[in-house]
Amino acid sequence: MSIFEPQTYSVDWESAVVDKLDRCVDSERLTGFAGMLHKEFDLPIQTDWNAIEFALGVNSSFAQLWDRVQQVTDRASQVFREYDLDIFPLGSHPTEPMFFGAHVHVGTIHDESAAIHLANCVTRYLPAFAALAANSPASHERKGEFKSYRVRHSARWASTPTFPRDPEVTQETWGTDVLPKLYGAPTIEIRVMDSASSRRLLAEMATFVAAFVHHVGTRMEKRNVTKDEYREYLNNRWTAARYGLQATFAWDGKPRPVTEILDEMLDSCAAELQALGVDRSDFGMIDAMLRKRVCQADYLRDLVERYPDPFQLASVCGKLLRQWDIFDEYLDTAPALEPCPALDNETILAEHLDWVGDGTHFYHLRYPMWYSPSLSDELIAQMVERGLISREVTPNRGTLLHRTDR
Amino acid sequence: MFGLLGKIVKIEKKEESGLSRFEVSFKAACTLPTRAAVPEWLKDQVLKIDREVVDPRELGNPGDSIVLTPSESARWLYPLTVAPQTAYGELPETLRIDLRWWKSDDPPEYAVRANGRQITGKFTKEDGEFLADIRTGDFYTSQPRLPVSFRITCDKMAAACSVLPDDGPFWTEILPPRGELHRLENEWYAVDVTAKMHAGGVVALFEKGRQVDHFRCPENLIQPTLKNGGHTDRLLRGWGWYDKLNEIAMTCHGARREGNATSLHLDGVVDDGQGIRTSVAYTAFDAFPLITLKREYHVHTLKKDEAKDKEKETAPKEPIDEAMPLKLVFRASWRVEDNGKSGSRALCLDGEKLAVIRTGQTQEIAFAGDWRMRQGWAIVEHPARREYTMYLFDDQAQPSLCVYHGPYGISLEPHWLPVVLKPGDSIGYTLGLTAGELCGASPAGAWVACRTRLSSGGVRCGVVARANAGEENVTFKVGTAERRMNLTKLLAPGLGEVCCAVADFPDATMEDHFDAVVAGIEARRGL
Repeated sequence: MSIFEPQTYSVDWESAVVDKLDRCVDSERLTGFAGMLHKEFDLPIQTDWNAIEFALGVNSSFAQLWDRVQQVTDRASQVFREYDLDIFPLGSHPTEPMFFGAHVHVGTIHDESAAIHLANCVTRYLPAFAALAANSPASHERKGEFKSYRVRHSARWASTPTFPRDPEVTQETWGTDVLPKLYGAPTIEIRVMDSASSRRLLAEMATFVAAFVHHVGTRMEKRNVTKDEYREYLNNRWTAARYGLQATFAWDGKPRPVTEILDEMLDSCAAELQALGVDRSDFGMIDAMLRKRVCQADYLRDLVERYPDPFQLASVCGKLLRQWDIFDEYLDTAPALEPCPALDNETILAEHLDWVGDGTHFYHLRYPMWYSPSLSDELIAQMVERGLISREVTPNRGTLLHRTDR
Repeated sequence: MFGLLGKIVKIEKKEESGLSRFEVSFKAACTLPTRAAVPEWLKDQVLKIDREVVDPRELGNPGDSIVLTPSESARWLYPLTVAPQTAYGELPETLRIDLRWWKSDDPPEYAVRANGRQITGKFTKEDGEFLADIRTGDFYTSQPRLPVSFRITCDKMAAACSVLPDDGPFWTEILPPRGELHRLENEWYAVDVTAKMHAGGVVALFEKGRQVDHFRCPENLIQPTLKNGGHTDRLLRGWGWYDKLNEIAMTCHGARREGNATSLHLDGVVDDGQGIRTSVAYTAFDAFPLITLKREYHVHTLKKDEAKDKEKETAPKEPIDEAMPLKLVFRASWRVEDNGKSGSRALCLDGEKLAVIRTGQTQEIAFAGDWRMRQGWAIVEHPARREYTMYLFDDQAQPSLCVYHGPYGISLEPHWLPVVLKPGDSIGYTLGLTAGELCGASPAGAWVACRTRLSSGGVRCGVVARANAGEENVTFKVGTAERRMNLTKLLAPGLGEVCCAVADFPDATMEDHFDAVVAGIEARRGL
């Protein structure tokens, strides 16, 4: 028995809009365009921070969503072009601080307690969605090290790691990777995915996410998330941001390529996909991405290398991404990539150590992988024990860390 | 450094060999990163540039943008150049004027003006550029007293060759390709100041001994002026930055010599509507490697507007209505070492302890509102480059620490506590600035030392410190020679006590190893 009745879904697809001087159009101006599209399509299209947010209404089938994606974006492109503007569909912008997501709303659910339990169950799978959607390899002068800077930097606090909740002892919250959204709509929202550059991929991903969450909703249990499970989720989330579909996750304590996990997830929700009028064989893009371990960020990483100046990169990205199917084409000929090694303790330590400078407040070490206080403190203790950092306790500013080898 | 953003007019394929090669014709639309208007000589001109791409769609279509790097843009943004731009000691025999681009094969005549004379002439074309050689002897029949300047104009473009004295302090205007600057120079430093933006800012701080510009910014990167190298003064009003300050051009009131120092004076209006004006004076001391910067903001009573006054007469008014909360901040930035991963860091005192600050990640800020920089000093060091800059503040009014670490630059951004001003009030600060190749820092104090070449041969060493003065408490070592001397105390208005020492090593060279111990504080070593 599903907690979703009826089974519906939507996607809020955020995108920047740029003019011919490569400026991002501001939220105020976009409001007018959003209003016009909202009226024309009777869909709640709106704006976010310097972004148009294509909220695609309540959908009950893949065909319906795919049709809306095409119609809305075709029309939006036309409307924007009247003002010499282009949609810039990417998870980040090379020169600007904004991040853009593709949030999938899965409905219909009216029981918030059940939704909270469901969020706890879905949490471990979120990094797999993040790996599939990774599409922000250049952000505000950062580039090259991560396939999703958006996930790495938690979308500037707009998609932070989720944490286990108990409906008996919790409050309303916002901005986590998964989020019961009943205070706004009868849905549970999966926020971890980067904005897609490919319309087809967006439709496939949103449907897959919805079907999978519907599937988990049929076998949901009230369960506690253990410390090890939570660490696995956080490690996998970081690995997804770093390597995209080349990531190897820790899964029940063992290394597994994320592509295998996604493959299994797709199979597991076959019935729910069918309920949305689709079969996994219809997901040509996801299938090719899993086979090749190639995500959208891999297409952009070549550009990042060839155009080192962020302004040049932004200009070139804008012209390529407005094609909508540039990644679809790339995927046809892209070479398959090898899986990257699983995260080990030394890599975890090195990543945390990398965040320590001189006089770094110890709380900064919560953010490399968003470890919980106890996990983070354990790592700090390890680094101190190994002589990699020194710890200084100050009366005014609390605990400061100093790297000893730089 | 600015790049051109053009709008594509035409794209023509040239050849294909792995990458596809195209010639892109475009019209200049604006300069990046500010998207300011392009120079007048580029208006409506169709320019051409080659591009190699994997996918022709990277270029886009006619009407789309094309972004040029600063080095690609230079010949269009600054087509007129002169070599040399600066010369020291004596007039160069000839000047080479190079018009790197012109809209037609028939460029306008150039005019060279110096010593009250003007010579005009036509360029000759060589390898696509327009060249002319000018004999300086046609302007001066004997060596003039320096500094002098040869100002070259051509259409709306201008360039200048400045011939500067190689001894003695001076002030002059120079005209590098990116615009007019004011130069203060003594035997230690050459300081370039812009009056055209930021209500005055320091663009370059050349340490003359090593020919190092401590404020040089990353090369060939589109970036705002002074973001990754230079000094600017900033202002917060309530919670928001007073961004208007970035656009403010100042009037230069020239420079004057007083008390063995040279001072350059700028002033300007920050906000006419609010009655805020500002002035800044940069002073270079002859005897020591020390620059001071005195910045002031004055709040004036507004001019009366009768109509508005009548309106206001009917509205009740309280003293708070005239209150203006302002907070002083400055921002000094340097090119960061190792992409911010290691090296560049800030040093200052935190209570009784020496604090070393470098964020672990880029785009992080280290800020602590309660962190007063005791003793009134902060150093930013770049150990791999052996470049050290120390700022000195009034040790009775110490600012709070703020350090920002970007992917290209590290900046020191001290904040003073906000104050409430009313018409008739003023606020400001005096900063001391010294840069060199060695530094020392400890809870007992801090110092920066540099060297310069003596015109008679040999090396002069100088140190500026905030530490206890004392007898023979400075040791300079250059090569095998060693000298001990007293650290002497100066009372600098606005700064408090500053200690300095200078020693000459007539037989040494700049290539010799340099070391120093000052007030018992050893030089910092290692990365």
